[in-house]
This record gives sequence, C-alpha cells and structure tokens, in this order.
Amino acid sequence: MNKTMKSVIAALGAASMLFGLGACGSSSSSDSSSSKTTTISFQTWNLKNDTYTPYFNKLVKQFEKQNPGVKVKWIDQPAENYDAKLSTDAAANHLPDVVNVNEQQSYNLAKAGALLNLSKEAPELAKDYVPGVWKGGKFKGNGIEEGVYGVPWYMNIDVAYLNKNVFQQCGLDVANPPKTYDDLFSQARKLASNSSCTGKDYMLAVPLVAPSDFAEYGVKFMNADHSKYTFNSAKGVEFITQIADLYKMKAYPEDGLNTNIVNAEKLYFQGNIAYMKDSTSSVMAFKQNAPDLYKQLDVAPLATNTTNTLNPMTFGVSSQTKNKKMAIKLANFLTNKKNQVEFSKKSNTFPSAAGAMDDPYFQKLDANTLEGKVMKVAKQEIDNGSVSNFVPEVSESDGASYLSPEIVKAIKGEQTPKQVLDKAVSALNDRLGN
Amino acid sequence: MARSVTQPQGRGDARNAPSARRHHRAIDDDGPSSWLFTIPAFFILLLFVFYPFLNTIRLSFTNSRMLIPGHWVGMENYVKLFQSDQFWTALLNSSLYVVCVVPFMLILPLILASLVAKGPKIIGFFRTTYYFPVVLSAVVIGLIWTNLLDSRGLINSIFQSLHWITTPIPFLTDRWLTLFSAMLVTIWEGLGYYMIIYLSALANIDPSLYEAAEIDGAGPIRQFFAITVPGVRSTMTLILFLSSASAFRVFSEVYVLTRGSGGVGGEDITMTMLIQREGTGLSARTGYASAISVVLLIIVGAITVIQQLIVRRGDD
Amino acid sequence: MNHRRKVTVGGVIKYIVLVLVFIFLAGPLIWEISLAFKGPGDNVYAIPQYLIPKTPTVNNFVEAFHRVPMAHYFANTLVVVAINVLGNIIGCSMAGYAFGCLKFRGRGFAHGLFALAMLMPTEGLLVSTFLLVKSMGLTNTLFGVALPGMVGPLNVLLMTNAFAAVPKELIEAGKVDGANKWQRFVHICLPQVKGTITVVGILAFVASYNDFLWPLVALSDDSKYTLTLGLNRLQGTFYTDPRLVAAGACISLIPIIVFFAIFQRYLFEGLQAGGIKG
Repeated sequence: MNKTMKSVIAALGAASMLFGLGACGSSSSSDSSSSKTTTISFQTWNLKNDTYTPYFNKLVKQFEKQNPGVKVKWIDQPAENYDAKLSTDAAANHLPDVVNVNEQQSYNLAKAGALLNLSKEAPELAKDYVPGVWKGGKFKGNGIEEGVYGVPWYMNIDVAYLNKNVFQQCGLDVANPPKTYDDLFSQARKLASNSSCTGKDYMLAVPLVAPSDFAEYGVKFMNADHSKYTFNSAKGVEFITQIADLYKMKAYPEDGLNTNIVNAEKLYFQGNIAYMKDSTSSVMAFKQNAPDLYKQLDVAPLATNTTNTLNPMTFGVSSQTKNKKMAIKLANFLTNKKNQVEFSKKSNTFPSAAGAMDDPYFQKLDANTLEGKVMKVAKQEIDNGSVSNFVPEVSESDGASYLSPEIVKAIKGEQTPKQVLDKAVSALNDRLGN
Repeated sequence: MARSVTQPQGRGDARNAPSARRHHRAIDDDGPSSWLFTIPAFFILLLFVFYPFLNTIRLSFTNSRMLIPGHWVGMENYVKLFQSDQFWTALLNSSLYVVCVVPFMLILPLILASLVAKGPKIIGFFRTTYYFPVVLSAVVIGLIWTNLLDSRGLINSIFQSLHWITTPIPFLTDRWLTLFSAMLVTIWEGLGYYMIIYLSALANIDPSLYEAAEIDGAGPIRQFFAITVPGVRSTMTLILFLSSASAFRVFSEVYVLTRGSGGVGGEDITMTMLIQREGTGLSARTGYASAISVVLLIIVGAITVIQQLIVRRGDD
Repeated sequence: MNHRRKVTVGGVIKYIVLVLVFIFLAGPLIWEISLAFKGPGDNVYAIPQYLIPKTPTVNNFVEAFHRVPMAHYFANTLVVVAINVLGNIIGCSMAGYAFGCLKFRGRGFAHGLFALAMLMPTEGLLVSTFLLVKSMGLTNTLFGVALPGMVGPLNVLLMTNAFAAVPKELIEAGKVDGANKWQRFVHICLPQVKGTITVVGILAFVASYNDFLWPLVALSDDSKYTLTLGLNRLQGTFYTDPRLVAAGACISLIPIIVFFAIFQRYLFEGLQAGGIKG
C-alpha cells in the first residue's frame, strides 16, 4: 500500500512535469508560428463561480463565433494578492492580453508602459461609454503619457447604510440623513452627546482619512500637473481638525483608529454604527450574514461637499499583446452595453457603457426592498458622481494606510493637524519622485 | 540493548556537536568529495536564495520601483531609512519580540515535549492536537484570534460577564498590548512547532539514564533538569538560533491581528512588515525595500553571532 | 516502559496540565469549526457570541465541495507536497550528513552559508524567483511550484544537528569494515536520524501545503491550482460568506492533521531504534 502510493505519487509528479512542460512549449509555438488561429487571453479577478462562469463562457463562444480564427482564453485569478500576481506578471512581460484592473492597478501598469494608451490606439471607443467615466479615467502628469488606459467596466458604488434604530434612539431623523460633511459632522456631534448613546453607538465606524474623503470634503489632493500633493492646505487642516474633534466626542470608536476596520466593521454588524459607507453589492452580505442588522437598515447617498467618487473597474490591454486589434476588440466586446447590463444585474453593480442605464432594469428599480432602494440611491450618486475625484497616484487603501499613522497622532492630540499633514505630504511627495 | 556496547557516553547530542565543531578546521579526513553530498542543497539555495539576494543587495543602491528600473543612487536608501521614524519603531518592535518570545520558545516546548513523549494512546491524541496551531494558515489564525481578542471578543465578554473588568481591555488597539497579543499568538503557534523538534531530540536520550535516576529517587522535575535539558543541549542551541531569527522577522501574527495596518498609528509595525509594505504591490519601492532587507540581514546576523559566542563560551 | 502505573499526584497534575494546554492550543479552533456549521439563521456577528449553531447545517461543506473541485486540487497539492517532502528529506539529509558526520576542508564555511541563507529575508525575492522559474520554462507547472521549496536551509540545519549526534564509534566501526562515505550514509547514519527525518518531512509538508503566494504567482491555469489557491475561490468578489470560508478552512485541515497523526510516532525513532548490529 505504502509503496504503491509512493510510486503513484512519483508517477503523478513526473507526468505533471512533462505535461506542464509540454503545454508550455506548445502554447508559445502556436502563438508565434501558426498565424491561422490567434489566441487572445483575458483575465478577470475572482469571478469564476456559479454566477459568472456560464456568463463568461457564453461571451467567449459569442466572440469566437463573431471572429473566426480567434480563440479566446479566459483566466480568472483568486481574490487575494492580485497585486502581487499582476506585478510579477508585468515584470516578466507575462500579462494576459486583456486584463481586469482597478484604477490604481491600471495607473501603475500604465506608468510602467505595460498597458496600451487607448486614447491613442482606439480613440473611437470613447463613444461606447458614459462620457464622464471615459474622460474621468484619463491619466496624466508625472511621467505618464496622457490618455485612457482601459475600457471602463462595472462600477461598484459606495452608499451610506443608515441604521434606523441608532438614528432614532440617539435623537436623529433617518428621513433627514446628512447630505454634506457639515451635516454629517453636526449629526455625529448630536449622536455622540446623547447620553444614552455615548460610547455605545457611534456615527461612523472609522475616521475619514482616505484620499476620496479629502476630495469629497473639498480638499485639493494634488496640484494640476500631478507633481506635488497639496492636501496640507488650510482646507485639509480644517478637515482633519474636525475629524480629530469627533474622536474626542466619541463619534467613532477607538477600534476605528485601526484603519483597516477589523473591529469597527464588527461594531457595524452588531448594529452600533449609524452611518456606514459600503458598496451596493454588500447589501446581499448583510441579508445573509447579519439578518438582524438587515432589518434595521435604510440607505442614503453618501454625504459630499463636492461630488461622489466613482471607481470603475476597467479592462486594460497589454502593450505586449501580439494581436493589438483583436485584444482591443475583445475588451470592447466584454464591456459593451448588452454584456454590461447583464453583468450588473448579476452583481448588483452599475454599468459604464453608454446608454446602459436606460435599460428598463435600472429604470424600474423597486424601492420597497432595501436592495432596490440601494440601487436607486446609487443611481443618484452616479448622476452626481465623477471618476477623477482622487488622483490615482495613491490608491484609497494605500493612501489610508500612509495617512492614518500620521493622522492618528493628530486625532490623539499628540501633534497638530498642520504638523501631521505636512509630514504626510512630504512622505508622499518623496514616494512620487524617482 | 545493542548500542551500548561501543560507546557509553556519546549519546546525548550535547557532547558530540561542539567537539566536532572544534576539530573540523584542521582535519580533511573525508576529502573534498564530501562536497558532493551538499550539491543538491546548494543548487537550490544558490538559485533561489543567494542569487536573488545578491540582486537585492544591488537593488538597495538604486531607486528601482516594482515595474520601473531605477538608477544608482548610492547610499540614499539607507540614509532615508535611518532617518525614518518608522524604521526605528519597527526595529524596536522586532527586537522586543526576540527578547520576549525566545525564552518561551526555548523552555515551554521542551516541557511539553517531555510531557507527551511517551505514554498511553491518549498522549498521542494530545501530541496531535498540540500541533494544530502550526498547520493553520495565517488568515485563519488572524480570524480566530481577532475574534477572541477584540474589544467585543470572547475574552473581553467573558471577563465582563465575570465582572473582572468594566471597560474592555484594548488588546488590539493599545500600542503595547497589540504587540503582546501578537507575541501570545506566536507562542501559541510555536509551542507545537518546536515541540516536534524537541521530541525527535528526546528520543536520543538514553532511557537508562531516567531509569537510574528513578532508582536514585529523583523526581520528574529533577530528572528534567539533570537529564532532559543537558540531553538536548545542541538542539536547544539550534532552537535559540531558529526562534531568534524568526522572532526578529515576525510578520504574519502582527499583520493578521492588525489587518496589515501595523496597529493604531502603525506603531506596531515590524521590520518584515516594513519590507512587505514597501516592497510588494504595483507601486512598490523595490530599491528602498531592498535596503531594509539588507539591514535586517545584518541585524539578524549580528544577533546570531553574539548568541553563538555566548553559547560557546558557556560550553567551554 | 511501563504504562500501567498507579494513579499518583504527579500523574494527576500532569494530566491537568495536558488538558489546560489542550484548551489553550486547540480551543480557539472550536470557534472556526462552529462557524462552519452555522446556517443562514445564525447571526455570525451576534453579541454575545455563541458556539452552538442555532440552525446547524452541513450545507456549507456541501457548498464548498460544489464550488471547488476539491479532489482535483488536492491531487495537485499532493504532487507538490510529495516533491517537496522527498526533496527536503533527500537533499537535507545528504547535506546534513556531510556537515554532521564528514570532515572536510571548507565544512564550517559551507555550513555557515546555510545558516546565513536561513537568516535572509525572502519577502522581497518573489519577482526574482518568478523570473528564474520562467527562464527554466517551468511556470504553470506543479514542478515549478515545488522547486524553490525543495530544500529548506532550516531543514539542513536540523539534519546537521541530528547527524552530529550519531555516535562517532558507529562511524568508525563502519570505516573499519570498509564502508565508503555513501555506504556509511545509507546504512549506518541514516537509520539513526529517522526521528529528525520525520520532523523535516512534517515541516516540509506543512510549508508547501499552506503556501499561497508562490503557487498563485507561479501558476496561471486553474486546472493546476493547489488546494490553498482553490479554496480562495470561496471568497466572493462582492460579498463573502464567512461560514463558507470557515468550512473550506476546516476541510483543508483534515489531510494535514491525518498526515501528522500517522507520522508523529516516527518522531521517536532515534538512536536506540537503529543501533549497531552485533
């Protein structure tokens, strides 16, 4: 038994090596030598499951039928460490022809020359997408050739989930949710000073320290040519001063100072956070994982002094692709109106293709369920939203993790807001320069 | 038993290792063909450790990014590193980790190993379950322990329901408690890990020594210090080396407990977290991260050399 | 040894200690197991927390098996693990024998290099490793996944320590009998270090079984995925069911615990087991 097992394992090992090597050899030769069929690969990010696999298989078949001689290969990457996968692939010139990336990933790949500039290679695509989203996705400055580096795909919109119980018990009116940051801050103060709520319920789960928070408050995050960060302006200081004051009043918990929201998120699930910023697609998670919370929820557009931040997923086209034309065509096909509408319906997200929002599905949202209401609210945000709210030189999460150690010092009163912002600006400027 | 015919004293690993070490310089008894035995190991190491690390050293003098090759900048990365507060915080945290964790890793797994070394079937059950924490992935460990330790976690709720505390203990938000919580998790994982290394070393202790001690009326505690500890000396030296190196390079425990943020205000960041933060991702500053790697190697190397010098002095 | 001793105070204390350690080490796992059995009616974030599911179900396990081709990915994992376990046992034993039992010029230096390798931070080496494996044409193969972990410097140090404890008299006796270095390695020294070989095997198993980042980078085709990679599919893009993730984690624990339970008894095959014939 033991011996047979061993030999089986050994044989398996040997076979897999041969297989692997063989596969590797054949795929590279088919790419270069035989010009009859071309293989175009496209990569998605954690979308291989019962919901999306049939969808993508169908699209692959359709595209192959419409383009004889083209074989489409779908690759899907698991949820975690996608950045590491992208960066090693890009460093080894190994990226798939068409690749699903968010704005930050797209920016870094574009800067390294790994993605095609679509404004140059295929400017005619612009008309296929919502103009604001297409133009908003333009990168510029700081050593990057100005242009759009990916076709826009779905948008996962953040909305404000309001906990009706907390609003009511702490003396706030859920029918009158905060619209601006001033509203948000004054309501937070009111909630925190309500003696039956202080230290138990909170307005926010975490302090607002992400780049988009600055942008939505009205702080200019970067200068016009993207060569210097500018959020240590008077407006930035004003913003952080308010954030620090809110902490003293217990408008958000001490757990929230850990930017990566572990425990703060839990407080939300336990029904102690009045106002939670989260994506439209999360409503399904609430229903399933926290049924008690789900019943208490209402929804409103996120408060903003400027516009709402949109952050579309995109499909970039690798600059190393052997068939530029077909790769761009595939990217465009994956994100056409019909395919985007179908994808959005499956995922509770929003399409960025021109005219897709006119689909009856988005016109007749049922506001009687929380799910429908969430979508309606998100639609309002899209109408008022802009993509380029924050600069992609620093991502939301990177930005938060770089800013928060400094800002926490201001929140705790160890340094002044001006001091910490100056320091954060110079640290980030240092990262900008080469 | 057959083995005692030829040699009565050489069994404990303690005596052989240092004496062998002392003589090796002068003698070439087995000839240069002995090197052949090391070829497979050297091959993998050269390829996947030494060669890439030489590259790391080179990169540390450049301003390379993950996807953008840089140019030579001399000592700039090192100067920047020594000027950054984060580096000194990380150095302090990693050093504290060594000081606090290593003593536990030397002693506790040995005690455990001698408790589960022999006995009825049920002992085998304990032995297996003690190894559970080692086989868990970092993510699962993070989920489990944040759930136990956070302000509304199991431990705080138990303490509160027993009225031992009124406000939750900030295990994961206090600057020092976060570090100590991570150390607790490290010890939790390390017990089983080092236990099995000790177990294999315990097997080399002559059982007749225990039998003789029992006849002399020595209790289990005296037996432990008189026979077990000296019997595993060289293994203990090795574990001192291994656990110090891994304690200084601690990453996953702090990372998962703080979800990568390095604690409130990043004050619990460790050296390896710093490397990871600067050196991975699409916009990584590869050059700067490489400089941290080089500095880390120098420090761990220095710690090791000092430890080995002390241990050898003790041997003589 | 006599297992049938009478109940003594010392014995009772020993078992109390064993149980307390059991609670400390294995207890936290219970939370994960309980989560895996919770059904849709259970509030995962309830306060106070509770361990007994209100709507117990095995559906999470069924769903995990349905979503992830477990048998296929497990077979892939087995291939990688087998290569790594064998590679470490063979490569590290050989090197450990050279460092622990042989005397040759440069031994101290060579052994020092392994200690140095053990200290090197490998976090920044991912891209270099990938480029190397790619240049060998081994990306997207299970052998490419296994290759960098085939010899762990730590395991070489463990084997060296074990071989150094082999009684010199045994080796000398072998020399007198005319055994060459290789024969002494296979017939005399190797049987003496079975316990440490088991340790090395277990450590290599756990390390390659749990590795996530390197297989992710090395593989691009999900028919070659290892179990750890495959289980990551249980995380959703838009929302994640923690119960499902917990079920996946529990499933992945089983093989590794079975492996340990089977092989742990070999940990004790030390010097007395081998012995000198005659």
